[in-house]
Amino acid sequence: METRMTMWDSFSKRGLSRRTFLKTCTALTAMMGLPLTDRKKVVEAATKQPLPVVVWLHGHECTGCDEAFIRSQSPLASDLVLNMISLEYSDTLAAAAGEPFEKHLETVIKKYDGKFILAVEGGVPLADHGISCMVGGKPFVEVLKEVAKHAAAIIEYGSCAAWGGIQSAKPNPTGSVSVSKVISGKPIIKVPGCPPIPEVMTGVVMHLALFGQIPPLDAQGRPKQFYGNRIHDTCYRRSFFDAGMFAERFDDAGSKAGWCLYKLGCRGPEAYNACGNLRWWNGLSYPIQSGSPCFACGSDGFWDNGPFHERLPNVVLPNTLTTADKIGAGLTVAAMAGVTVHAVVSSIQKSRHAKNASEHDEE
Amino acid sequence: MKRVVVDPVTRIEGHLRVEVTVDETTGKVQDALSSGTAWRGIEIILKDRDPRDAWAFTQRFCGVCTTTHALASVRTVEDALGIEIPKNANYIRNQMASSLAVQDHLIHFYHLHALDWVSPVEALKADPGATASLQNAILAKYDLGLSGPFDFNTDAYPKEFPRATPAYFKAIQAKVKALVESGQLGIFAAHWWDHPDYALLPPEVHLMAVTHYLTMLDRQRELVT
Repeated sequence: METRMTMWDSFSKRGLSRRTFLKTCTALTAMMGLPLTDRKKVVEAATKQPLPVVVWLHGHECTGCDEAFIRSQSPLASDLVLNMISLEYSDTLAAAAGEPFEKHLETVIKKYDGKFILAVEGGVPLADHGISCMVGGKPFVEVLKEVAKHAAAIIEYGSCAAWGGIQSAKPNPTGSVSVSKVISGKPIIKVPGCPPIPEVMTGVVMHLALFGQIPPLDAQGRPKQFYGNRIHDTCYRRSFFDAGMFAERFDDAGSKAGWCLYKLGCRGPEAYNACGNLRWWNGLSYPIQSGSPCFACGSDGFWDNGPFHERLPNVVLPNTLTTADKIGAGLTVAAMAGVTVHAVVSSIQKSRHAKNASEHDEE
Repeated sequence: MKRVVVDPVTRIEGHLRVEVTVDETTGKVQDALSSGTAWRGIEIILKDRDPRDAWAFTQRFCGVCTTTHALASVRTVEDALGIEIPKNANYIRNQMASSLAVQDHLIHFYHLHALDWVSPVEALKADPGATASLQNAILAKYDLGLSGPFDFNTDAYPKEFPRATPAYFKAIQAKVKALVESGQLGIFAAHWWDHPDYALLPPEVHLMAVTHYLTMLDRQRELVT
């Protein structure tokens, strides 16, 4: 009785036009970081592939990743959840609760055995047999292992699922770890960030849903299209870094002028994420643009890399390993030398003027 | 006596288990307990760290009301150290807190709480015309009649406010019908939509609330990152 709709079926059943459907495919193509020449593939997949089933589990988390997910602009989370995927299990949004809800999970993982996408938000506590996170009377680690067995692929949403997260920061009282430390033998996509950018989250699940393929991943298992460069590489304040113009305090002139935040602890040089590329709130802004140094929330173990407002001890420059102070000092020397030269030249010119003037007077 | 266990409680942040002992003959609750079933130890983790970082850790207690925790944490540290902030800084904090409150209210009221009372299945029984009348009556009754400097130029943010017309509600109803009939109920699956308490509200209220739920899922984005 139950039919697996395709995305096109879903759109047309809801009275949305083919034109709207094609516009959505165009947006999806761009959001997944694909060239627009690939749009035909996206349309085909959306027309032919049945709506992929997604199961979303929560471990040690704060629901920040869910919140980020529903902020997505392109595609809108509502569009995604109601028209493009079938979100069959989600603690945060599901109407059902308790026993019927857990039974539904059992049904879903059997029915779509080997075919559904497992999204995990949150770390996995292991200490004391995983008692620090219990769901439906079972330790979360057991639930995760059972569901993961039947999944086609796993998305680790957020730094908690990807790296262990805040609960795994020293002294890690609950023995929390990342999903990959517990699950093996399944394709896993790491989507770190605390939380990750909304369009990154929806872009990853849509890539998986439409193409049934893992997007190209880097050496750490993160999608290259979203984690391919550092915040530092596209920082709009980079010229200030290069010129050695740093804000030293949050209330100094440099800070007000929007200078580089490196000395105030910016981890941009080591943070791989799309915040400088996509930015947040559909490209409106991101921490550095708001005057707040990046603390590399997508990096492994960033919680223990504090204090966040103390600068990194070393930054790698081409051919040299030096410190911001040395860079700054070197540039100051150069600047001072320049000032000195300028002063000397000025005084020579002044005396020449004076000499000409007196000569002129004498004439 | 019947012992009823609901675990996990859904549409919340975090993990919760509720147990209730009910006298089946009278329907009265004899005993109840609730248990938070996840502990992360962030209080322990926060010890001995730089107080300037405290807000970032505290904020991760909850990603829904996250701003509130951050602000409370910052104020706590300032209180401990006897720091007073400029008036403008306080204004900015108030703006942050208020924006969150509005966004969170929408999310909580519709996407977290509403399904306890609102049913897409009941919405299918509604008369779109009556729903439109109801919506317009409510808009009229609760019109705050605000006057003052509200003639903002909102050209930068095009805002469409669909009229509460019968056609509008009919279209939403058709979408709900398609979802219900597809068999892939997603977040509406496995629930007792036939519970008599769902009939406490008239179908028109269900349809209106479902419409709000769908609209607000998109609109809440505009309030906070």
